[in-house]
Amino acid sequence: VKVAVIGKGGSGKTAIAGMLARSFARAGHEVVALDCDANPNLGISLGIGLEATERLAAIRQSLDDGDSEHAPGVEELLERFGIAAPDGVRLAVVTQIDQPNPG
Amino acid sequence: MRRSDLTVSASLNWANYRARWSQRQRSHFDTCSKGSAARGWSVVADLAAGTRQPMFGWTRFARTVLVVADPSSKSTLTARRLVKAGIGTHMVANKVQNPADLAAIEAAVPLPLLAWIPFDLAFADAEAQGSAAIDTDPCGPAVCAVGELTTRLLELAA
Repeated sequence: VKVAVIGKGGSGKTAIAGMLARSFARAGHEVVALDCDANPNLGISLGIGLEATERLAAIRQSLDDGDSEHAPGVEELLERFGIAAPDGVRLAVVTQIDQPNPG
Repeated sequence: MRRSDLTVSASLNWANYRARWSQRQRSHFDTCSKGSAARGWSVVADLAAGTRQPMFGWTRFARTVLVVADPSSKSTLTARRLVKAGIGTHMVANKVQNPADLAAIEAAVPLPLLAWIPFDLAFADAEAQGSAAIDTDPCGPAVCAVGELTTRLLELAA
């Protein structure tokens, strides 16, 4: 299953995306949940909690700051920018985090 | 070098930097979305709010593109803009409180309705507390409705 969830802010995209990912996993699928927002919150809707969601964003940011030019594969990206969520869902933040003064 | 030259060169570097970053982000997204699909994994991508990312091709990997719309006119307007741009395969009506809400969303957004999620206080509470409703209220109406949405999506993918 390959699903993208879009819509206006506040319409419930993230909550629905998080629950869908968990439901697919419970139905026996290997699920990768991709947070494409530069202000990433999907972790909360997946049930990993506020602190882990913040930590994941911080990891993303620190790795972005020292990123190399080589092209990583999906396993490496999930390893570097990812975290395990309940029901076996793997969550990865795939966009750079918004920050006022990059570099 | 005059000060104005320096300013120009700094802003050019800034533009390069931005372009490079956006390209790299996109390449991480492409690697994850396409790579996961190639391995037979399911992918659920939660895109940034609004029309920008979808219009720049971030939905192309997906077989199903769900446009989430609640009864507010701002939300249905955004959904209509997406549809006008040719983006979105199905619609999910969210925060539905009565049949009129659902009718209004369906009338405003010209996409096939895949599921509707009722407005659910327990769901809103979970959001407020930073937890997942599937954990805090697993048998609630909104969670059940998303369960039905899951079934629809699995049928579509079959």
